[in-house]
Amino acid sequence: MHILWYLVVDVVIGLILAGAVAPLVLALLPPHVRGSWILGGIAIGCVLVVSFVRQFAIEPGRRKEQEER
Amino acid sequence: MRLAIPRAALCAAACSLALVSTLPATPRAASAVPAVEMTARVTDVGAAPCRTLRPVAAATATATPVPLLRGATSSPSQVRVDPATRAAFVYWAARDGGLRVTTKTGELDVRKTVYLDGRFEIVLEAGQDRLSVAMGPHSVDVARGGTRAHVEIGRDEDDDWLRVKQVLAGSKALRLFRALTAALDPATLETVAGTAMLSGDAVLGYLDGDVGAIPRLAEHFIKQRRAKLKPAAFEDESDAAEKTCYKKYEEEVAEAAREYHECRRTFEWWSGWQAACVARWALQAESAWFQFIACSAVPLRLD
Repeated sequence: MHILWYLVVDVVIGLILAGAVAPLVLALLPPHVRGSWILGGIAIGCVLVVSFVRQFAIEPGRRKEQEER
Repeated sequence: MRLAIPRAALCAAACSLALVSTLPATPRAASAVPAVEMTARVTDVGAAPCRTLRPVAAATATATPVPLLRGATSSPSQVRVDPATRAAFVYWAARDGGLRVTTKTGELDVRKTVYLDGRFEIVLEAGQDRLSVAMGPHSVDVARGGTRAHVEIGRDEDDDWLRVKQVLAGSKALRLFRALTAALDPATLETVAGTAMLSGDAVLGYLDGDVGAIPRLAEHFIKQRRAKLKPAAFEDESDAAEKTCYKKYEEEVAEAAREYHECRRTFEWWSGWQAACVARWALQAESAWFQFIACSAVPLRLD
């Protein structure tokens, strides 16, 4: 159940992040490269980044806190 | 329906304005230019109705000079005689900067003046009946005998237009004018004088309750000028409907970026409102992004 909850949170935050990142990435890319598949890539990338940040940067700290208690 | 009025005003003035811009501004300049040369200059505009202008020398050979109406300020520059009605149309650049067209047939005296800013005035006289209509982008003034009607376009109400119709009702001059326009030779309708009469007839007809007058005039003008139209770009509704989700997203994001750039320029770099610009851009970008996702998703039917 926890895994599903984390998945939903990762996807939602990742998509919100992608909404802000996508225009910036598109602006940096040359016109002939731009396309909807780039947006899909950005969306997946952002979800993965959020997921990795949560797993490797936030989770270890939280676990430590719980163990200390 | 009310929106058609300013369109009518612009429509009515369009061809004549093109001519005004090519004619000499002062009567002295007008008289200094030979008639044939002026005719050639007018035809350079390329407007179809301006093609059949005759040199003054040729026209005056067949036309009987007509007495000009009150208010004529300079000597006539061009004459056109309609073969069907034998009405002689005289037009010239007036001192006040407008192009004036006059004609007299039987009882009816017609004077129409068009100005560069889109205003125009039509004065019709038939015996004791004198009707004056002045129209601009913002107002319409109609006067006949002792009665007047004034309409502020944009703040107009139905009663205003009904008052205009009441002023026009029973006008002998208007009836004669419309009869004259209807009887003009098709070749005359393609001249400057014919266009001036035709557009005046459409506007007066509209004010008098003939709601189809303006669309008919528009169709007439389109038919006349269709051969000269060269579409430079074409995007119809079917193209808009076929826009891909990505295309829509790209347009919205570009618009958001443009607005962000304008917002940044509005405030100083140290102002706290710069953050508001960023927040607005973020909201617009997010909105476009989620619209893109919704557009790209498999459509779900929720009946």
